[in-house]
Amino acid sequence: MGRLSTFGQHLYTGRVSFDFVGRRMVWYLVSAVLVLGSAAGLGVHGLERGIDFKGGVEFTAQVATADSSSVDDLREAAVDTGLDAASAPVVNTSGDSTIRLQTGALSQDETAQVVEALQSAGASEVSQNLVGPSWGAEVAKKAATGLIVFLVIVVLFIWAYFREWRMSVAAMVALAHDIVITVGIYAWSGFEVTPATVTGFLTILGYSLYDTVVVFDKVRENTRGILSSTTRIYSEQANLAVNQTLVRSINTSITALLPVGALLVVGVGVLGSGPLKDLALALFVGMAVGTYSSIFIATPIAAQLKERDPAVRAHTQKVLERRAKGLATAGAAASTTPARPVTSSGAAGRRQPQRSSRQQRRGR
Amino acid sequence: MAPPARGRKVKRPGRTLLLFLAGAVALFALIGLIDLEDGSGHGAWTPRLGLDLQGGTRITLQAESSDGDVTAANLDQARGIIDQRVNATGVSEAEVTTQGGNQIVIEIPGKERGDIVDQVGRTAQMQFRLVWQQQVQSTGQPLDEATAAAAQEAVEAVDWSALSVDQMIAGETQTTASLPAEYQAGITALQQEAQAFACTPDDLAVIDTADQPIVTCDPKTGEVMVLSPAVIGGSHVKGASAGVPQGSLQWVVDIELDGEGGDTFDTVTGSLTPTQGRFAVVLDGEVLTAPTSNAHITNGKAQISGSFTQKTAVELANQLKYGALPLTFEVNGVSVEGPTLAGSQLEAGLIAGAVGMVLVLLYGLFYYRGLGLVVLASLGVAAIITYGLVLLLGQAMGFTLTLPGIAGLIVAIGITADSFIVLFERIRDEVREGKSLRLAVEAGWTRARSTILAADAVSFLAALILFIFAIGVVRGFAFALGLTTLVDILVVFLFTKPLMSVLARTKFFGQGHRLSGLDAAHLGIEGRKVTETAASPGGRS
Repeated sequence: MGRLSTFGQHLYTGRVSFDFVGRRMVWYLVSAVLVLGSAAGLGVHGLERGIDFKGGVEFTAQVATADSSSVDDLREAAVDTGLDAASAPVVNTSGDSTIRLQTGALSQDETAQVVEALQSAGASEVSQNLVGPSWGAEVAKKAATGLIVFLVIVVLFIWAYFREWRMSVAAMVALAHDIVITVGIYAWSGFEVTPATVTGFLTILGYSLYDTVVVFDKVRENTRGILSSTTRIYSEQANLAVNQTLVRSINTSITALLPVGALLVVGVGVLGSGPLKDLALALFVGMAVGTYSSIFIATPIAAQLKERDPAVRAHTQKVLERRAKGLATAGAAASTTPARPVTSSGAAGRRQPQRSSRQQRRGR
Repeated sequence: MAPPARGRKVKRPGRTLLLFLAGAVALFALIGLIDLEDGSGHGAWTPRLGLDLQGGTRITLQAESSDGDVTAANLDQARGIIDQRVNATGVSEAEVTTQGGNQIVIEIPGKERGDIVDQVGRTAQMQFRLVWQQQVQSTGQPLDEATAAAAQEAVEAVDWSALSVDQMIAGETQTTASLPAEYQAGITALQQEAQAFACTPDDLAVIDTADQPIVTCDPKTGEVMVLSPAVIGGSHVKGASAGVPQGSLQWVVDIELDGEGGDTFDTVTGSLTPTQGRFAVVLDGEVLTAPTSNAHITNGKAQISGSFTQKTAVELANQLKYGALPLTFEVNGVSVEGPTLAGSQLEAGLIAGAVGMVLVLLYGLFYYRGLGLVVLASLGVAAIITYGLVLLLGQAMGFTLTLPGIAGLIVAIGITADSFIVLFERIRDEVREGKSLRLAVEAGWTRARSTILAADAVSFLAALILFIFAIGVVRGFAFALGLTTLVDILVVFLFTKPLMSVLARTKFFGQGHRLSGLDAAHLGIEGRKVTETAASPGGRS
């Protein structure tokens, strides 16, 4: 643990620095590949829609032991009702003593008929969930409305809070990135999409932005008054911010993923498939992607957009020129500065901004 | 320990802590008070559980309007009707609520009653019709399929909507023989249907089309009738009320029609009264009442009298008032969950919550060592406050804890813990800058505060918007998430930060003890002490 802390200290001072901003093209490329892959997955496989999006009835039967023989018993019982919609039920076990059975659309009377059949085939308790054909569409429609309102408000909020439209844009790009990739993972893996999954997706929005706001706040702090600095440029300060919040990002991700992981494991262990699993899975995938994007996507984009600002660009040029001159006249300076980036920084061998602690400065 | 660095505004973290704890105690005292007051025996100390956690039936109906728009007022009226219908089925303790602008949710805790869906979800459309033929002597023997189909075809073959109100009135006062010749085949078919009509719930599920005549019955009396196409639509009913007029002992139902309806009613009663003719109010193909017209009503205000009891009068008045609603319902979902399934879902939620909490605490202790205790205390306090609020909101506004709600609370553990992490990292940054811990806490807090507020604001926005727009399972989740975000801010401001300030004065944390999580080695600051005067805890090598 001490090692991670030392690492944290080095990240903070800039002694160790990962060039998140400078190597943005690499991350963009990685993300572009992932996004394209996701789009392809969506195109090729589509999403596996749960019963809530198709309509039908799901019966959850409690049995003594859920094994292949009791599964067969219940399937047979359902088929023997002679109902068309129940002629090819999807049956699977879920936990030790629960069997789920899905049929097509049934009326209330027919549902009662199937329940009776299942009970006489050994089910002690039969819960039913009848879903109308338009329920899923309605859930999705409402979710989409909420999503649009949310995005508009958040764009305004971030713009107002950071006084910087570029950060709004960057946060939105990161958000879209998270959603697309999460959806892509669902398409490729064939995980079922249920209303609980949609809930998970929507929560990811909040989480992804939450994470981004924390990093942006540090960026803002580091770049305050940047234009009057003679030694630091915007991108480097932004990169320093990502590095300085890296330990927090790692810790946050771990603490966020731990309970979600617990939810996932317990959800599957105790209940088998069900809303708990769907929700936790969407969150787990989305949070992992969200952490990635706030580090690798959001800040680089914000920095890149900011560097296009004429004032910032002029300032950056000035500082770089001065730096080149300074290097020529005081070549020995480097040796007095201990904080050299471990990973050599990106384009043009830019130096990372350096901070040394007061003690170090005093000591040397 | 170094003498306290005066000069800055002296804060009283201890006092804030005490106030906060007093607030928490007050919260639980309030719940205790509610518990004592509460006579239902349910008690205020356990949260109200949703159907998925205690078992029961949930029916979700989607309202659709014939004119395209479902308004909030419309939906609330519909909720009232549905509530009444549910009560009429004999189901008690059902809760009927609206969601997402067009959904009506019926929740029946503890009972498996999916069977009532057909009764409660039926379309509410009311019409005033004329009684073309009354007291039909029905054999109750259903027509064979071919005859039934032929009869239906004969009825549908003519355009009934071409009939004027006067013609329809004549159909009653001068018998249906007075209708134009092209309608006679249809009339014969209707009479044929009427004779086969048994007044059973199955037969009553007739298709009620406003501009067509209908064969139906009054389920209260069993009287079978042939009724004209609608003369007045239910939407012309302005109001209806039940009461006992002065000087009378009998319950009556007063009904008021709007201008257009009143005009038609004027014509109808004017023609029917001389012959003591009847008209029928039909709701969804079922006769609500078929009174005899005793007076010529010119102002649209009529009174229906008969052998009403208070109950039947109020019921009819409500039906007349609300039956006019131009909404139809589609069954979106019927879920019936047995107690065993519900029990195991509750169990799974609680286990997941406990495991998640313990994992986060272990990680906190592992990484932050002594500071991990602060995480422990803060999360513990947050959990207790959240539980208190769940109890209180359950009592005050009927908030029920559902499985997605529990999931929301569990997910929130991470977001709450993150606030502490942001604070700790900022404090450690300040210590790295060379500040003493006491100053670092204050400086780190100033910076962490705005970050935490901004991030929590985004998180809260997400929850709020989800709650407003979402339907179904999403709402419980969003509510839990929003609630815990607020609790998070409360705890960080009033508990964690003051606690840090107090702890910074202790020897253990203030001097960077090896296990405090703030020692030089742990921060990775080589060869430097955390406070200037403390003995060296020994740098990492």
